[in-house]
Amino acid sequence: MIALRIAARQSLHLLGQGLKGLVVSPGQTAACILSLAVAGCLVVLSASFGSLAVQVLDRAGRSAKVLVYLKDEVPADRVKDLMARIGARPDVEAVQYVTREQDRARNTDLLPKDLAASMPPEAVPGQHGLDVTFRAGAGGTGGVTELAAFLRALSGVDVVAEPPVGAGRLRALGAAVGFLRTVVTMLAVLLLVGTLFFVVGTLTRTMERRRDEISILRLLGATDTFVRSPILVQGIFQGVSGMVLGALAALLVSGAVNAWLAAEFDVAVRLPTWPGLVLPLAVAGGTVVGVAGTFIATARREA
Amino acid sequence: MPLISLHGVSKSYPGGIEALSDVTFDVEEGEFVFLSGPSGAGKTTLLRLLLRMEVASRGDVLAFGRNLRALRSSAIPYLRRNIGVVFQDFRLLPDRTVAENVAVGLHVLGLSRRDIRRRVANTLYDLDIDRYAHHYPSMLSGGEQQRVAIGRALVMHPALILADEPTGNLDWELSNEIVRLFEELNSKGTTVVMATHDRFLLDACPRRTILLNRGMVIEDRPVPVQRTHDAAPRPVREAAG
Ligand SMILES: Nc1ncnc2c1ncn2[C@@H]1O[C@H](COP(=O)(O)OP(=O)(O)OP(=O)(O)O)[C@@H](O)[C@H]1O
Ligand SMILES: [Mg+2]
Repeated sequence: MIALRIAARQSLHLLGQGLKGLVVSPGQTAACILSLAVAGCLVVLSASFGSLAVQVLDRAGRSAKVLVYLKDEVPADRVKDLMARIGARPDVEAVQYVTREQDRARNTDLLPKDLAASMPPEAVPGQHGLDVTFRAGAGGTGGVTELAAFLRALSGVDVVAEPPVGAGRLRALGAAVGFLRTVVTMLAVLLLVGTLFFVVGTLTRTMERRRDEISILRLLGATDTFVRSPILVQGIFQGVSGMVLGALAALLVSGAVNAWLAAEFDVAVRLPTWPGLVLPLAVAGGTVVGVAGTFIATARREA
Repeated sequence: MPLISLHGVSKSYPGGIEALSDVTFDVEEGEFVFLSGPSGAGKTTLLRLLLRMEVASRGDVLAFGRNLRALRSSAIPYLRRNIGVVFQDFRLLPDRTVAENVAVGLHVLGLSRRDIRRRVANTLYDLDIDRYAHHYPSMLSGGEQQRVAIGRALVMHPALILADEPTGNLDWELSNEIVRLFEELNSKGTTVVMATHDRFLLDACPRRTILLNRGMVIEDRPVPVQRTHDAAPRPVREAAG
């Protein structure tokens, strides 16, 4: 019981000592927390942009379909021959035959529900054709246009419907986002490593400032824990406050980006924000930074 | 059992310097011992061994019944809580008041705020520096600063005081005063080992004197018979952990 009270008092004292360490060089501490925040923010944003890139590319890939409508009189063996020729191209992922009934069903789906219900089924147009899936990565937007030109030149082909323009734009955006993600991730990692040494620097500075006090404390019987835990408190405080600030900033940025996406592109693509995951992770990450910083600082200089 | 016991203790530093060679002596609980000898004789080295800031190269150093060579490093703080140290250069923290300087070690013990305040006030009063409680060290004279440093050691209630030339920076009168202070503490039971090369001080205060030269004990002069104290020695706190 008494031991518990002593431990509680000591913890409180050491906590206070640790917080005092924050103002040993306030400018450096602030800069340290700020750069941790920037690094943390970049880590979260790169994760969320990465996830967005996957979404966008997936969407673009799915819409990169070229519809080839065949003339009514093209016979089945000619269709087979056409499918083989088209399927042999490297920029084609798949070729699928669409019957008249399937096409009619699709067109019915496109009509407003009440109008479709009021029409006799035969009134909806239906034409047989081929669904040609473009292989993403085998070429740029020009690739789809070139594929469409090739298909148009085949005999028996009636109409070639290229994918909507938005798909190309989305694909370009997806690629840009993917690139941005790589750059941002690299920056974030560099910044985190740099910032860790920034944290070590502030802790070393505190230890330097307290050197005389620490050597006196050692002679008066202070344990390692007593001498080092204020440094740990300072490190964890810096780490956690920096990372949490960064996470909050990242949430703000993704909110703004989502508002822009909704206004600029009329698509259901959103930057994912995981507040329930990001904040606890920020606390954990900040603690890791603090502990690692303390470890390096005390190993470099015997405290 | 003696409080301090050295058996054939040698300490050599890299470069072949032998700071202590084959030193053997005991100090009983409640004794007052001067450690004397010219500069470089090994006085400071001996005190550093007792504080376990260094480990002997050969021989055994025993304090409080423990062989310091065998002491785990986690047990060193608990050894030191029985020992009060005083230096020639005071080593006060300039940005702390006198009261804060004296209190610095009490936080290590985890005392309550009230206990800390009471112990500090009593110590400052005993040393006659209570009026300076809220002054900074730079505002005090050398003698007063040394009293603060002694207070910082005494407030921990040590069973043993190791003082390394505590009067080295003080004039004759103040030196005498500081030694009287140690004698008073000793009369209440605290064991005192004080390093000094001040011959006048040694003459004025006849006490057991261990004379070192070039790391060797060349004389162990016992205390003159008329000046023994029979006070009960201060009990040694059990080292926890
Ligand atoms: N860390 C060290 N490394 C190398 N040599 C040392 C070290 N510490 C002490 N010495 C040497 O050990 C010898 C004894 O030194 P010590 O400080 O114990 O003497 P002293 O009696 O306290 O002297 P003084 O009266 O000048 O304080 C000296 O020759 C000194 O140079
Ligand atoms: Mg010395």
